[in-house]
Parts: sequence; structure tokens; C-alpha cells
Amino acid sequence: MPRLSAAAISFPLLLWACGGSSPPAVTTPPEASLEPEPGQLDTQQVTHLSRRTQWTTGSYALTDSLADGIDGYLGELLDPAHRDLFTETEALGLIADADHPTESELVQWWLHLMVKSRVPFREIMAFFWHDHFATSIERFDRFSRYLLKAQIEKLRWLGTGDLRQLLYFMLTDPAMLIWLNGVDNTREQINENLAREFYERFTLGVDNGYTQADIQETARALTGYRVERDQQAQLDRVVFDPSRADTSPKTIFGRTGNHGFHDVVDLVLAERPVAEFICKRLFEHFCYADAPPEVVAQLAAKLRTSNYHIAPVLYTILRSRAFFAARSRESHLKSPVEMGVGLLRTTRLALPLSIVDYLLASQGQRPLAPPDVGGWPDDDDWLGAGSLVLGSQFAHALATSRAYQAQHYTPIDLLLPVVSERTANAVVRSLADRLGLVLTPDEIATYEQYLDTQAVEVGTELQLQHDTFLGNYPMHVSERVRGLLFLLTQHPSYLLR
Amino acid sequence: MTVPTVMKGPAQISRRDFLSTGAAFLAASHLELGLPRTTDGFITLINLVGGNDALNTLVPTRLQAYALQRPAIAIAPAAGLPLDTGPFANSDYVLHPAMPALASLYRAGFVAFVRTVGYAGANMSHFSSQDVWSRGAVTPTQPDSGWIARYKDLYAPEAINVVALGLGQQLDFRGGTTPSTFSLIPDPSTLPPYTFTGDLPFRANDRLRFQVAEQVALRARAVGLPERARVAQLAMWDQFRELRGTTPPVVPPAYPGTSLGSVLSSSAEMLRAARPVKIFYALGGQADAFDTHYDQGGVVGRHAESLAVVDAALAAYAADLQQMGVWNRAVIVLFSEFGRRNASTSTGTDHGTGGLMILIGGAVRGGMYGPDLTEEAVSAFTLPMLVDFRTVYEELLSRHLEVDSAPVFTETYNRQPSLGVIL
Repeated sequence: MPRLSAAAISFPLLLWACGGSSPPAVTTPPEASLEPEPGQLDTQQVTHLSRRTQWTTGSYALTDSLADGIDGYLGELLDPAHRDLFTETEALGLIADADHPTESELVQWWLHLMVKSRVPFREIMAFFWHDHFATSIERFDRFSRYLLKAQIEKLRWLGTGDLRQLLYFMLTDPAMLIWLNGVDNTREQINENLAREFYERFTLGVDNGYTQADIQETARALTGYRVERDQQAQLDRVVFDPSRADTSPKTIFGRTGNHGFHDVVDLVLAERPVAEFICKRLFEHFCYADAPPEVVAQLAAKLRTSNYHIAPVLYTILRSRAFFAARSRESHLKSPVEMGVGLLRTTRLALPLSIVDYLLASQGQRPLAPPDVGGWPDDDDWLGAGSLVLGSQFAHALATSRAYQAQHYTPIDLLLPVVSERTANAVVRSLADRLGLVLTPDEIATYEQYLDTQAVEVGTELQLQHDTFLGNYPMHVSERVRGLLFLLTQHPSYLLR
Repeated sequence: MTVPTVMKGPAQISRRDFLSTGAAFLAASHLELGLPRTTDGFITLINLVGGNDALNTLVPTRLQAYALQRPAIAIAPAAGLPLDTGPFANSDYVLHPAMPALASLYRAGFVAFVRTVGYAGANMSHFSSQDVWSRGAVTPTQPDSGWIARYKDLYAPEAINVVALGLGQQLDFRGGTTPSTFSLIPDPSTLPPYTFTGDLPFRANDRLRFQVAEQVALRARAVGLPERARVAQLAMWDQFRELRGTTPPVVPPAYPGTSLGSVLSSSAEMLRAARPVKIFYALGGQADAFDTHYDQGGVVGRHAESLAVVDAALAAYAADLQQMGVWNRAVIVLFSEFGRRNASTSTGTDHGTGGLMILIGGAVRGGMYGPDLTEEAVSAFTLPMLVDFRTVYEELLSRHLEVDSAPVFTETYNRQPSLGVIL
């Protein structure tokens, strides 16, 4: 893994770590404290860090990365220059015609990055912002679909960057202008859609500090874009057409002027609690729901003093006692993408991306296809969508796609102890550790018993007989170990993010 | 309730007509006319999400305004499928040519069209309108649960009583306290052979695996896991056991390889296994399948393609239900959050208000319901909403599922007399 020089990372880290934080309050419970987690991280905490920042589950993934301490690790994590160009190139290879990608090609392009990238945090943050600025591929066709890829690239690049710049980009993003009818918004006839969602979803939250008049005035400030179809190249382009732009004065949040796109962003940042809204979302994503107001206030102050750079806020969150507290480790359920991509990253077992796409779509979380501008549901809202069953199908597909995995050199043996140490107990423990599961002795015994059982159908009856697990016997390895992997993914604890 | 008999007289002719329409409809000798309808009714809801265009689905043949309003997409009467034979013969409308199975079923007396369905204060936003339909209430968040969830909590507490076929029904199921069953739908053609393949040694291990998983789930303590997740997971294992137990799979009649075809075949499987399902719920297409802002077309085009997908799945499903002898217990409901604008744009239609609800099945009294379309209605901006959709839902609950619908639909609305669409 490429590493930055110590000088390049230590300077900003010192600033982030020392600047602006309030004096330690002795009575603050750990889950509400943004002070750095003191001391060495234990296994559960490392597992947690790995889940949130690598989309893997076991602590094994971070053993090397944390060798130099968590500060070095976070510095690398939050550095936008830290990329995996090899995997990015591989992913681009999945798109046959860059100007006219198909839906599946685009979804699989991103899935490939999510599953294979050595810098998964870039995809984690891009996916966070994709959920935030939710734009659906279903709105686009072969003329315009390339524009959505461009939007995702912006999110991948700016995910830990400058929020002000991100908002500038999103308000003028061609895919966004098409998706929220910015291209239909003219000085003769305004279309409020983009202006409304900009406040409601992107910067403030529903009815939080804006009026219908602010929306209409903002819509006027956002006029001027239209779609132009290039028949020769078979491409739609979004162009700025001054004849459609409203250049008369507008009054937004009580401030009058000939406001345009940049002014809308600057005004909302200056006049309204955008920092609180964004920091609350970030904290709740990485820690737990219903963030304490004082925590949000501290993070918002940090965001403002860092001139709206997101990385220092993320650093504060990911280094904090709150992040490593039990409440943060226990409160979220995995979304289908977190479950599916996480399993693929954790086990490194291969599954065709077309199947991954299909299964995630079946569960209702196809990347690039959020249900609406509100993004996807959270936590136990997923339970109502049948995704538990289909998540189970995902795990089952992964655990049993033996032939495909053999073709792609990802045999399940690579997850097991060496043959001479492959007892039932050792196999259970090593797979559980890989999945980050903490099992009771009783559960370990149940899984061991499963490995030691031969099941036979006699008519419609299922007969079970003891048959000692032999780790070097291919039939046992292929069927029972795969069965065990599936079983472990179905342990209730594995539902937790 | 009294148990009415299935249509007599004209229906005899029309049934023959229906049964002779093609190989999809297999002869159903046990389907004797006059057979008392079992009281064990079930409903299969199919949501044509996105706003299905009522005017181009059931096309008025005598209204001049229709062709004038829709130069880009009008369907000529001669191009539509006639509905002018059978017990409910009607020549004022023809059906979209992409729906031959539905036309046959109509001519056989099994289809009711309810025109200008909607609710007061129609909202032309997908989100708002879907919200109203799914909650069965117009006032936002009052109540804040899906009507199916309320029905289930009150009358159908077993998980298997209400089955979501596939995905996308969160709205209608939200807020309930008893878990629903979610069908195991993956389309076999797109998946690696990982399920119960009948491959004997592996099948046995599969079954054992599900037993152990359930055993662990029952006992495990997952610190921090919400109770609702635990309940949902246990319900899931229950479901695996129920649905994937020892019954060998029956090869179903040929269903189309679409997701709707696949989920309707799952529904038929459960009925074949005599599972006590009261409501099935499926999506009739992808999110934008019926949201025909562009390239809608008339006889051919995006709308025709979307309707054809529904029709093909419906043909197989109806044949299957007939074959297994549950047709008289069936009401299949096609609905959508709104209809579309009367006037076409350059290649499609924008969101409108009054929609079309279609009820299909052996328990349905066929024919046309709701006020006839008029020149005035079709000349207007958008069709009126004259029949509140809850009038139909309440009749389905009270007459077909035989429960009191009042606690499910609690909001006061312009409640009309039952349409009499259930036999």
C-alpha cells in the first residue's frame, strides 16, 4: 500500500487534533465525548474501525495498517491523494463505450471499485454522499447516462474535501440539473424542484430555516441551464444559456442581490446551520442515531473553523471516544450494500458482479438507483423490505458458488487454517474471527456439531448422523465449510453494521 | 355473508370463449359453473408504480376529445382489443392491444374496470400520492402506517398471512407490529445454482443448514440488536422452513421470465402448498415503467411494453390459479398512484389524477364501474377522481376477506356505497 511521507500527514493532523476542541469535561460519558480515545484499541474496537472504514468485518484487515498507530492510519484514510489507480483502471475497463455506458456497466463499475479497491474509504464516503445527493440512474438514457458517472466521480474526489466546493459542484452538476429539473427552470417559468431539495435534503433539512419565498427566490437564482442534444456525438450536454437566466435582484434569507449559483451556496453557509445539519449526518452515520446536540455543535464549530473542510471533522469523529464507544458499535444494522460488499471484501470470495448487482437490486439498494431524492432507508427500515431474506440469499450465493470461485482462484480453503490444524473447532474460530463475530462457547459447540454431522435424506425425512469433520477431506471442506460460512453470516450479531 | 354463484347464462358461453383463447389457459374441468365460492378469499395486489395512463389502457372509442387531446399517442378504436362480447359486453371502450389475456378474461366475465379512481385533493407528486395510497389516508402521517400493516395487525397475525412478493412495498407494510412473509424470489435464470437443487447430498446439507441457523437465531444474544430485527429474522427462518421444507418443487405452468412472472409463480407455489395467505403484494414493473413522460407510444412503445409484461404474467397466473382450483377465491387488483394528463406532450404524458383500477378473478363481478368517461372529462386538463380508492379496498376487505374494514380505514372520506364488484 503506498504510504505518504510522515511530513505530509503529520502537519495537518496536528492541527486537527489540537485545534478548536473544547476543554475535556470530566462528566461527559464516552459515547458523547469527542476527545481522542485513549490508550490501545482492543480487538472489538479495531473490528469496529475496520467495519466503518474498510467495509470489512474482521480485525485482521487492519493489523498491518495500525502498526504505526491510529493517527497515521487516519491520515492516510482521509488523504484524497491516496488512491488505488490499478483498481480504478480495471473498473473503467468494464465500460465498453465511455460516452454511452449502459446501466449495468455503470453499476458494475462502481461495485468493482467498492469490492476491490485498496482504498475503500473513498467509496464509502462517495456512497455516503450518493445517498445524500441521491440521483437515480433511471432518470437517464444513453445520451445522458455518462453525466451520472461524472457526478459520482465528483463525489469520489470530494468525499473528504471541501463542503463548499462540493455544494458548488452539486448545484451545477449536469446530472443533478437534469434529475431535479434545473434544466427546466427558466426566468419565464421557474421550477422549484432543485431549490427545494437543496434546502430540504442537501443543506438544512425539512422546514429548517427557509420559507417558500426563499425557495422561489433561490429557484430564480438557479435559472439558466438547459439540455442541448448533440446528435452527431449522440450526447446530451447541459449548457448555460444567459437568455434563460434571471438576472434581476433576488432576496434570499433577507439578503438582496443579483444572486447566482455560488451566492446561493455562500448565503446558506453564512446564514443558516448547514454545518450542524451535515455534521449530524456524518456523526450519525459513523456512530449512532440521535446525536447529542452538544456533540453536533462541537463538530459544526470544527467544520466552520476548518473553512468547511470535511476531513478534520471525520478525523475528530473517527478518533473519538464516542466512535469507539459500545453504543456506536451496536446501534446500526447493515444495509444491503454494506452486507453484500462487506461479505465480498471480508471473504475475498468471487461472485459475478452481474449477480451482485442483481441481488442488491432485489434487496432494494442498487447503487446509482436510490428510490428517490431522499436516498435509501436506514437501519431497521430495511427489515420491512424483504431484504433480510434476500440478504440471506446473497450470503447463500456467496457461500455456495463453488465452481465460479474455483475458476477465479478464490477457493474457500484460503479462509481456513492450514490443513494440519484444521479441526472443527479451529475452523469455526477462524471463520468467526474473519467475520468479526464474538461467539459464546455454546454457539461454537453448535457450529462444531454442524461440521461433525452428515445429513442424509431418506424419503422426505432428514436423518443426521455423526461423522467427524476431517479438514483435509475435500467433500467436507467444500460442503460443510461453505455451510458454516453461510451459518455464521446468519448469526443475529452479523446483522449489526 | 351470502355466497353468490358465479355468473350464469352468458357466462357459460363466455367461459368457453375464455378457455379457448389459447394454450396459456389450460382446461379446468373442476371449475364448474355455479360452484359455491369458498369463503377463503385472497387478494393479489399488483402496483403499476409510476402512474399508469388510464386513457390509453382502457381506450374510449366514442369520445372525439380523446384523439384530439393525444395526437402523439392516441390508439385508434380499430387497433384496440374489443370488449364487446361476453356477459359484460361493452363497445364504448377497447383495451390496449398489448393486453390480450386481460381482454379474454374480460370477455369471460372475470374483469372489472373501475374508472376515475383516486382520492380528494389529488396530488400529482409520485411520493405524495403513493404515500396516500399506501397509508389509505390523505392527511399526512395520520395514521402513519400502511393499510396492509393495519389489516395484518388486526386480522392476519401470522407472518404467512401477508406476503410481499419481491421488493419495493415498504410503504404499504410499514408501521405494523406483526412481521410479514417475504417471498424468495430470485429469478433462477440469473443466479448460480446455489439453492435447493434437488442434488441429493447437497440438498440434505442445505436443509440441515437452515435448521442450525434457526436454532442459533433462537438462542443467540446479539447485544444491541433491535428487537424488531430479531423478530424479523426469526420470522424469516420460520418462512424458510415453511416454504422450503419437504415439498418437492412442482414445475409451474410457463411463467414469463420477468420479475413479475417470477413473483407470481412464487405466489402460486404458496397457494399450491395451501398456505393461508390473505394478501399478496407485487410491483407491476420497475420504478419508471409506467411513468411515461417520454416515448410512451400508442400501440407500440414504452407503455405497450410495460402493459405487455403485466399481461403475460397475468395470463400464466390466471391459468395456474384455474388449474389448481383456487380461481374462485382470487381477486387480482391492478392499481397505480394516479392516471396521467389528458393531453399528450411531444412523446408522452405528464402526471395526472384520475386513474384506472382493474380487478380480476373468479370472485369478481365483471363489467364497468365508476362513472362513464365523457367528452367533458376527457377535454379537461386531467381526469377527475370520482371513486375514492378506499371504496374499493373496503369492499375487498369486507366482502372478500370478510373482516370489518372500518378499523383499517379510519380517515373520514367521501365514502360511497360499495360498487358490488365482489360476487
